[in-house]
Amino acid sequence: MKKTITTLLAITFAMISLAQRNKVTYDFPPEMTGKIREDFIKRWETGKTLYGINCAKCHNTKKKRKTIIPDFKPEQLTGYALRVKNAQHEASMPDNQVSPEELGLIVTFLVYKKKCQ
Amino acid sequence: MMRKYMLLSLCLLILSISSISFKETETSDYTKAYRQKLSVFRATQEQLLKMITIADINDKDVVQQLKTTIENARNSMKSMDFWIRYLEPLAYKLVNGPLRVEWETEVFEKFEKPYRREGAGLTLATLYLDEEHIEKDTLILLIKSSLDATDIFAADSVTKALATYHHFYLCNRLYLLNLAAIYTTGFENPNANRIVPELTELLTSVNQIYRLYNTCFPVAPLSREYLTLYSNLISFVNVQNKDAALFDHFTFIRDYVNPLFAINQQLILQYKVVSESLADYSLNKNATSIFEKGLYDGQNAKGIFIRVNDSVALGQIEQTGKLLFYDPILSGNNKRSCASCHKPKQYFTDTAIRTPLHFNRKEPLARNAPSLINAVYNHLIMLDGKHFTLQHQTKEVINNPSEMSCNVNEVLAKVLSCKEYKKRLQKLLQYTPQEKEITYDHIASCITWYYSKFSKSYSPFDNAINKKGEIGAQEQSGFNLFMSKAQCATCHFVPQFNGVKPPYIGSEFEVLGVPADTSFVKLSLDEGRYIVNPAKETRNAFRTGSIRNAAHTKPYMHNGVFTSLEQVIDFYDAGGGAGRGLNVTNQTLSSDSLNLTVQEKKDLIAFIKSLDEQVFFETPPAKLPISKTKALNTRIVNGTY
Repeated sequence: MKKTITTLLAITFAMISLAQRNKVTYDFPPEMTGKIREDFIKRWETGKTLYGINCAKCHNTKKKRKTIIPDFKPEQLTGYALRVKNAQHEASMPDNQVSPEELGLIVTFLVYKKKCQ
Repeated sequence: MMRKYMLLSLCLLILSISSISFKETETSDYTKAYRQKLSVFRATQEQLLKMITIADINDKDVVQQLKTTIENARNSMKSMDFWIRYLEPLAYKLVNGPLRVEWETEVFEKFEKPYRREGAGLTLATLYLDEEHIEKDTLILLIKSSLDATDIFAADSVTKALATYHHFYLCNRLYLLNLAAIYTTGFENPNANRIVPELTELLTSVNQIYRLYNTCFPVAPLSREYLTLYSNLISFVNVQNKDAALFDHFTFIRDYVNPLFAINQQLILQYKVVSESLADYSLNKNATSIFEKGLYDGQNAKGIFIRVNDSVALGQIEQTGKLLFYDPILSGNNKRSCASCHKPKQYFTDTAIRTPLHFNRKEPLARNAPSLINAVYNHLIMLDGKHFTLQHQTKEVINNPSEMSCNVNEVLAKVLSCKEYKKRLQKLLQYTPQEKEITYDHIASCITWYYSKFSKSYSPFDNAINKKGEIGAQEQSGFNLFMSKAQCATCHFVPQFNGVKPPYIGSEFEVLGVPADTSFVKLSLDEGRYIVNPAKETRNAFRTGSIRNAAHTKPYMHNGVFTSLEQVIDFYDAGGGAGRGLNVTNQTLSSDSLNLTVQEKKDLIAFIKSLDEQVFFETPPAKLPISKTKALNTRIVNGTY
């Protein structure tokens, strides 16, 4: 039973991430090329998945069945200070739920994500 | 009719205005009390500054007068210590800093370079007055900085927190933790005779804050049970000996401070207290005792598996970690495993040699292999604080040419050449959706999760102070010495007895003047923290380790120079390296002798032995996974050296 649920969850997750893959693209500066760009894309993809696990539930919105990842303001993306700036974060994303390294990846993703507007 | 309506609405208006203003007076009474105390504190410092300006500081009587005036200012500071220490920790360092310069990397700053933070204020001014050559300008600067910092506490950005009840329970939590860890140890009171009197004043002033708070914030009051217990605590302290060396720290914490902490924790949950301060970064709201291992989060032992809570999955990670821990496949020559130097049955250290052998098997390494037990309660890892996660540390040791000397690319290839590892790790991949394939981080995380399970045990001391068991009179008196005359607790803080002090967000380093060998002819050449963060204060500084299980983790100090607890205590009793005549210009330990008696030393050791945790050790795995590469299959469990 447990296994079926896990598999189902994994499939759903894979489908969601596949569905999202083409919708969100990054917005890297044109100067960023070659290996650096590749590395960033990798980090960015990891950050995207981590965003999906940790943040999407509260922050994403739906518009005509389309999932929208909001554009965060630079002052919202403050690294570790994120944990206390938003009172809800203290309970929803403590240190034993999202590691500081992961938080960094999430912020990287959000900074370079193609803006909605 | 119209008039009637008007009259009614007028009544309502008056009523609502009066209720608003009534409410405002109540909370503003609380803020008013804060501001009043702050202006008294300011005035006492101004008076002190004036006095210094005109004083002849070479006159001994004048110096004595200055000390009395400083004490006066200290009392006014202590009357609001409850608030200011929590609300603005950086400004607090300038009014009551323990050191002139501190290099800090707090947990939320770990990706940044260490910060040089200056200290000033009353404790440092008193200490300065005891120095041989004193200059007026330096003294003025210490007080002037303090006075300037005092204004920060009056800023709206700070006082706005006083408008709601949330800050109160967080201030109180820090206050209770410090009652257990530093207020009674002389950590920031250079005058031992003043420790207990100052504590009494602190307790009384906080009692006034409690009463005022309960009147002003009826929505979230302190319970009657709390207030009664707090009154009992004051009565207990009142009948204690005024000599800090005779103060019963054990009973103070067991019967009063820790139960008060438990109630405060419960109220934090009940009132859904929310923090907006980074100072609360690692404290755990669900801990019900100061001596609970989950009081604060030090390290993330799960690593990449951080969000896994399912016990079956955690068991799989642990079992994989166990195999890897004992497997020399992680070393360059397939002859060394983690267990080679961190011998599990020797409390995950090596008690037989001073420092482990170099990878080349020729010379010894520079530093002792620290026990892995309780490593998880440090914010910075390694004796020089080089790493800030357990996983970085694990990977670095595996790759380090003088330790396990395995190439980064090789590790993964070798591990995955074993069918069993591949199968196990592939299965674990489902718990890390952010990673598409097995990484080095999966390997490191399995290992850290495995060995960290041995950090969850409690000692007889923990059980006694949690009222779940008892320890003897000698152990208790050893603890009381540890907290007072022997000055151990000013660096080995309650409850982990390591260098992490409330609010448990950073690891401290100390310069002790550890000798190269027991002849005490020269200092150890190891520069310690200086290698990571070069500064004159960090030369030869090492991260303070835990006292827990110390009876089983010999040899001691970074270079393993001492082989018995007696030697270690004698070293501290003599005032460290400087006390033994070595030239240590930046020693952070007093070079004065502690004057411990033979009996006192025995008591201290009895206490240290009561910190032996009841760790259940395991037998090593019977065999290791078989590799496709035949040459790898000659390796043996544990490795050979």
